[in-house]
Amino acid sequence: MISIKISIYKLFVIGLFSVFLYGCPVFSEKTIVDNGPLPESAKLVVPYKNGENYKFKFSNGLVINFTAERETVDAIDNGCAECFNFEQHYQRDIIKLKPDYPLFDISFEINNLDTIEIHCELDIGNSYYYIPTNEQKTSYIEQFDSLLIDSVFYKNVFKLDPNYFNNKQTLTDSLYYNYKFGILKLIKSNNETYTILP
Amino acid sequence: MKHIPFFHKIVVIIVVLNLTSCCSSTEDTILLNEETLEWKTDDPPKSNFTMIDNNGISQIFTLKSNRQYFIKSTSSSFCSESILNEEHVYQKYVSDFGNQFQISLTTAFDNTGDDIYIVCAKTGFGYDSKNKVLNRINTPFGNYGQSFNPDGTYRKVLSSTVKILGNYSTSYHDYEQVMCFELKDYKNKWTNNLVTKIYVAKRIGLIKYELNNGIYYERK
Repeated sequence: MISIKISIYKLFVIGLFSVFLYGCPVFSEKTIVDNGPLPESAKLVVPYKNGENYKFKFSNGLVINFTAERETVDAIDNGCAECFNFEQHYQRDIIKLKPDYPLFDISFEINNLDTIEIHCELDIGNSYYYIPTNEQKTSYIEQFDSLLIDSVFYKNVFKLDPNYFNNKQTLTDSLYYNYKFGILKLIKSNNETYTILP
Repeated sequence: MKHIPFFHKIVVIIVVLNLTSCCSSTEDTILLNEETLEWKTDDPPKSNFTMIDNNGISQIFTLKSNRQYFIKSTSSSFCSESILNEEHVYQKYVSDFGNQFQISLTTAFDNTGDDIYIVCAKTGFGYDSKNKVLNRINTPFGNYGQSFNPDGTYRKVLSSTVKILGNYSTSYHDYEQVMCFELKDYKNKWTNNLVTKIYVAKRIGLIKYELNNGIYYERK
């Protein structure tokens, strides 16, 4: 009789453990995918250099100076919260343009989370833009051979339309951009403009 | 273990039931003063307004949160329970530059009046509407409050001020009943873009604010 009781007790304890273990992740080796460094060629889509100053002219002639801060950092992506056994190592190139006037922030990020299609995003206030990083992407975007701003011709210009951060009240209407000079002209939704001052 | 006779159990249950029937429960509701409520804006959801600075650069503020609600609190002792419902108002506007303007109205407690709390681009202040005293300031470099004398009155240690102006004019409009806040404390910590003056009109909201660098924004 006693031995039967002990067996039932053992079964109960084993059962209890199995319930706990069922909730634990399977112990297996972590898979690490290393995307390597961000290629220097990919960084060229954003021309701003760390510590350099860039000028933009507001509609009424006011000149605003921006200082560039640029840094490439290592990053890790887990893919999802439950993916304990997977890591993707990649690099982020973060570029910030800090104005000397109380204005919106401008920031770029280029990363190789996807090594086939390098990602480049530009955030301005509450709107953001995708900067094309390859020929396939540029085919979807309106392009101009040249754009005249204050007597200067800028070649190979993209006209980018904004996406929005969770609200429809967007700061910008459109943005003219090229790889050599970066932001050429920014048109706000109320028709105020910011143009490059070389 | 001793077995409790059935009769005794019945007696205990009856006594407990009697005690419970003596228990009391009260519920109070504290409403915001009507004059305090005049400091909230009448804007419909998602409405917006434009602030233009002295160099002509505009910034659009959109109403993101607009709540008038009651916070319920319960306190209980051995056989009594009191429920308190306090009225609150919270409004938040966010600009396309990422700046925020907030109005928060909270019911009075103890000797103070309803609390009117305003935040504009990281500078905030609280105003005791009954005693007409600035009771605290909130800045990016710290939060500071008035202390109290033993008799419960304010000691008034802050140099910053709040005035209620009968009339105030900007480049675009004339306003009545304007609350004007001026930051005067901790000047050695001020940064260029710190908001140092805030003007709020009854039922309209933010009408003007000024930065330490001399740039000011007015409602169009």
